[in-house]
Amino acid sequence: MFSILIMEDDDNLRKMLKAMLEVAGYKVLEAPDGEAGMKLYRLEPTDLIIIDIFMPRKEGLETIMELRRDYADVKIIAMSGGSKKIDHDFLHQSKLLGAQRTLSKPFERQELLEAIEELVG
Amino acid sequence: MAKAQILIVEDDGILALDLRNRLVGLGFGVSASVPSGEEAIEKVKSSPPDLVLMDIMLKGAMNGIEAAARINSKFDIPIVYLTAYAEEKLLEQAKLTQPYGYILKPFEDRDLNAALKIALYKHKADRTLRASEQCYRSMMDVMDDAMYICSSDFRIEFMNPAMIKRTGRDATGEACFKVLHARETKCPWCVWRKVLQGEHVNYELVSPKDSRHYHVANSPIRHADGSISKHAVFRDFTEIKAMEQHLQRAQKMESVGVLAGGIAHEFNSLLATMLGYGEMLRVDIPEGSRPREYLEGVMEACYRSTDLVRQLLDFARTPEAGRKPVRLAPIVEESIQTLQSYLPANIHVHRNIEAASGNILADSGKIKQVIMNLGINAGDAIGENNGEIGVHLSEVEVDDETASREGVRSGTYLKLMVSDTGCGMSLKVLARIYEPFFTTKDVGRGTGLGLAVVHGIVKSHEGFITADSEPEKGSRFEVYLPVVEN
Repeated sequence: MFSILIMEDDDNLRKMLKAMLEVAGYKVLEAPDGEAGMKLYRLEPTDLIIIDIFMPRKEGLETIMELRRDYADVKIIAMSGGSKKIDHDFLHQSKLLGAQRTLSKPFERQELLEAIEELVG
Repeated sequence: MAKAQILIVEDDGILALDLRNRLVGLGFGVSASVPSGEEAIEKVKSSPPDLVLMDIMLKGAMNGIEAAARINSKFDIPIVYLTAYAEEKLLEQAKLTQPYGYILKPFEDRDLNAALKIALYKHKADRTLRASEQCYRSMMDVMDDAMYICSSDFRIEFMNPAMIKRTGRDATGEACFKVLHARETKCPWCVWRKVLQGEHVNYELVSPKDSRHYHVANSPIRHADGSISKHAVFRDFTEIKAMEQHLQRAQKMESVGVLAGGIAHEFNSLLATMLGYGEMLRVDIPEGSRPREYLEGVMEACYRSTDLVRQLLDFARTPEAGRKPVRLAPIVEESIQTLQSYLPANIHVHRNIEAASGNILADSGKIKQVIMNLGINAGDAIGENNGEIGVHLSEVEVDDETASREGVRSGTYLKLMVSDTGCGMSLKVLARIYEPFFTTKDVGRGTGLGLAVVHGIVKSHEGFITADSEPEKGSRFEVYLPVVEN
């Protein structure tokens, strides 16, 4: 069974994603921010990580950089609800930093599942 | 101190010699002594004295009064008459030459001394006063600010050249409210009462006469008779005001943009959750059932919210990715075609696309959105009447002044103008058109995001947009996008 780690600070959204992916047949681990997510990943590496860009403590972009540095093969999907600051397209940046796929919130179930399939399928 | 030099004009040789001796005795210098008016004028020319002591009755064609008049017209030298006659008629004539004194023969030394010293002193004082007047007058003349003085019954007493230029004529003597502000009665903002009490009063106003912004500084001028005039200086700050308003609007748009971006981000997370659960429910709830009908209602609302938030983000963010060098003309042509399919038959689109236009760095989809939004708004402004939408594309140079005002770089730009013959907008509406959710359309007809999105897209393309409009006369939007090297 493929495993996925979700790093997302919005509890409701994280729970929904977990449920959605479990229904789709994945084993899902979850963390409320980048810091907790990194700790968890070091203990129990997953096949794929879904990372929100804006999170407390350790932000998405920083987490992506750290993951790329320490785990060259890690598969990452970055997601964001748009940019909080004008003049920055963070999803574009996260791709430059090493996320293979990006998703703009809100996205459809199908989009998410296709993105995962593409990376781990 | 050097002795004051006196020119004696006396045709009687003995009297002339006597005068010379007496003047020297009194401590004056004698520059020359001449017997006729003509010679007096020559002497004044060749070696100007400090004072001319002029006998009125002279031999020859020219009498003393005539000689004095000629000297007065060309030189600033005081003249004191010396005569044995004190006829009224003669005195009247002499008065016209503005003499500094009039000594009747025979006279005592002390009378001569007093008359000459007073004349020299008065002349010196007059000269100082004239210099001072000249100084103030030239200050008034060179002042860029328009200035006037008026009496307590609102009559203009003086206008400087700048004020004469503003009003178009020297209106001294006329009513200030009429001349300055084209009003029939006293201005409601008049500060005369305060000025009369000795106060200096400053205020800002938009003059109904020329609709320009003035900072007006009012001060009292106290006269010797106790009356007070009002001195008012008009400083025109229309351009500064416009820049200020522009800056304020830009700052407001920026903060609204940041706010909109923040709100949109939060909403997207919430919408992702709602849509996600909704889609999972769709799997569990069979189609055709009542709960499924309710669920679809919820989903529809979520989709609409998603669209709204996407527009908000378009207003707020800079889409760096997706921009590439494109030619604007084909995009405009294509957009016009799409636009025409939206517009009713009563609206004609008139296009003028100049062929020689450079490339711009753009996201063509976003640019289409700009043209569509402007075009649809133009159509709405025309409504059911017959009307025309003009789309004009040209290449223009943006100078340093405009560039700094708009916060862009100067250089070559493509100007896309979208104009209409519709209902137009008031200045009040015009000032708010780019604010998100500001709309004048009926409920359900517009989200108030169209122009906000246009503004956001244009800004993100390092361009700027201007709008001109007048109620019942239509509107004109000009979008400027910088031309890039190929």
